[in-house]
Amino acid sequence: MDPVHRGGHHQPFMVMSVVSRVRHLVKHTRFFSSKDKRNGYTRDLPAMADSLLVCNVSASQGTSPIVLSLLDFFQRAGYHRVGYFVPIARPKCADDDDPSCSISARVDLVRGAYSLDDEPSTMIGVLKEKALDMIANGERDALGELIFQRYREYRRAYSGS
Amino acid sequence: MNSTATLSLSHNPTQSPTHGTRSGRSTDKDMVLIEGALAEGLSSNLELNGWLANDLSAPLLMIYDCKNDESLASSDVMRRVSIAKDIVSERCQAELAGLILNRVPRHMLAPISEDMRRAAKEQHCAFAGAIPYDGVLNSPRLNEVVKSLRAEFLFGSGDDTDVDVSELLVAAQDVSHLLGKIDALADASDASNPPPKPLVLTTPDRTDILLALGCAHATVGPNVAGVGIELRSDDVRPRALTLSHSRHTPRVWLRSFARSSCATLKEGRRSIVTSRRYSPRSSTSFQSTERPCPSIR
Repeated sequence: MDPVHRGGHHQPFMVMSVVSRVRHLVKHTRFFSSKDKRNGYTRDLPAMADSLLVCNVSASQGTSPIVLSLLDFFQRAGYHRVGYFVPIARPKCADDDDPSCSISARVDLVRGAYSLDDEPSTMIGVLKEKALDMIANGERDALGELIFQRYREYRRAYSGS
Repeated sequence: MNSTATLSLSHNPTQSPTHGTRSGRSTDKDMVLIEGALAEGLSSNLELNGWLANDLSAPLLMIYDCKNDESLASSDVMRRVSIAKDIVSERCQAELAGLILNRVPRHMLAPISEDMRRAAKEQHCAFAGAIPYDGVLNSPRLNEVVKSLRAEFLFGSGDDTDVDVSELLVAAQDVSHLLGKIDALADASDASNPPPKPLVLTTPDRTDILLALGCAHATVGPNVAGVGIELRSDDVRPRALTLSHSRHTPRVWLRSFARSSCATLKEGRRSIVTSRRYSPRSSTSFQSTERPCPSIR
């Protein structure tokens, strides 16, 4: 099943047309490390961005087609090792005895659609409940660090795969 | 603890001993797509994502969901995007990759795109484009419905269930009413989209409906995605469709389709798609939501 090209006649082409422009944006988005910025200056690094965070600013759901299209596009555009990471994931079910429940349904969807062989548990940062608890306890920095560590592990775990 | 009342998203990087260790990017993956958090209960979801983008050193691509709103004005969209942009780039100091408008009403696509392109340029925000609303993208597929409800095939082939379910029709009246409703759906559909394919829900004793749909589907009649039959353990399986058992036979299933799940469907609650896990022990066991259930006629 190809979730990107389902259904409508011309919709996939319109989605891909928009998505293809995203690559242009990524290509011309210079990377600034947060450390550089915080010291009061910014410094361009020569490489283009190697990650992209997709965020729905209208606080609603419905980004799946765009996420799937982007993944599809990056794979077609020559990015051989494309990854997918969910920093704060919602578990797909609430059964504590079932380990597979802690995996985001979105991760399942993406892995299935693009045959990613990444271990699903490495593709998420923390579960939503834990993230909310940490934020509520004023541990936002620790949360950020935890997610960053998980993200770094994910990127490195599949080098050469 | 009340998580919404005590949120502290204010972020002082100088207080974080860990940021200095983030010396740069690893390059083991060519590209990693990070999906922003949608944490209900947070007053500032956008700010959280801004911090995440900063923490992970990932440019942030903003998606603005127009929700097929006919009353949408590009000035309103740009105003909200501008606020979002300020939060992301000023307060969170995250890099902004650009903006995509999603689910724009189809007939407003060209003017909105043009306005947004102009306004985004003035705001120094890269505008990637707008994606029109398409109901097909919101509709689940028959195999997803079958999987989610743990339904069982009674007739038809499981090979051709890769078909969109445009909506649900509950067949409780006379068959002529049902066919009239299906025809009305086809008449009301947009010519630029595929014809609607409803999933018809009925009971095992409605042989008239099963026969009519089977015959109609095999000839030139209304095309349905499938027929769902609510079977209880003591119900006898319908035999009607064995008369026209061919590849054109509508897909007919369901056995372990408990009343509670049927009621959930009928209420039009968000329920169906792939990520659900249905437990027969509970009537409220659809755990998570991704897409809305098709509308009920």
